[in-house]
Amino acid sequence: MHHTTGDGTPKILTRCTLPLTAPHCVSRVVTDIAVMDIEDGRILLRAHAPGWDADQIQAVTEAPLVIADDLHEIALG
Amino acid sequence: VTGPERLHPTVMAMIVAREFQDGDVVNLGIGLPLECANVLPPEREILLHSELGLLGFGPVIEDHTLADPYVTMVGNLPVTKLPGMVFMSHDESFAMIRGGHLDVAVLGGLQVDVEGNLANAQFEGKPAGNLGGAPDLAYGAKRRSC
Repeated sequence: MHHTTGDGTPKILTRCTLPLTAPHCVSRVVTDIAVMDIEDGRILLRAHAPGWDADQIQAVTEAPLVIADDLHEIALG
Repeated sequence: VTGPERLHPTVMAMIVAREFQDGDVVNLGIGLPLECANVLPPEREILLHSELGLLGFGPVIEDHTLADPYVTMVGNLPVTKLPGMVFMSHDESFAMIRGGHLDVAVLGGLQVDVEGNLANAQFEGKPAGNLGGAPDLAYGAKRRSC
């Protein structure tokens, strides 16, 4: 999914505001700037897109992010 | 929207798809998730499932003049027929989902929160983007990402 809407509104939230499709179901989120795991009521930032750092990602994320010990840049191949 | 460059949907799909294991049955939702159908290396044996009743299909066909209009995944997108693929009825397709026979569901997301709650439907206006099979997929599949 995209990390924000087209106008920059965060989509990764403390609590969804739209009607839920399903509760407690998502464990991995891949966005256009980050890879995150959701576990135990927190969002773990595991990887960032090239050029982004954790502070920049947090700035466009409404929910608080927990930074993984092994936070790394997304690499392909 | 400011900030450094964002990943192209194809790259996002590659990140998601590299988590797939050979032999996995994978359902791809409308929107960004279905990009995954186009980035699977042919040597991988990933069985793509669509709630419309397809199992084991290939990439989305961009040129609709080459497409079989009866072989479509969600979003009415025509897909490539592959040897060995299976056609099934809608009820059998949902029996696969509800019976726990899907390994991975890649769901589109409008909002996700810290509890793993997912909102991915727009209830007004659009025929596509409504709830569809998402609630079933969110519980039926062994692994869920979005």
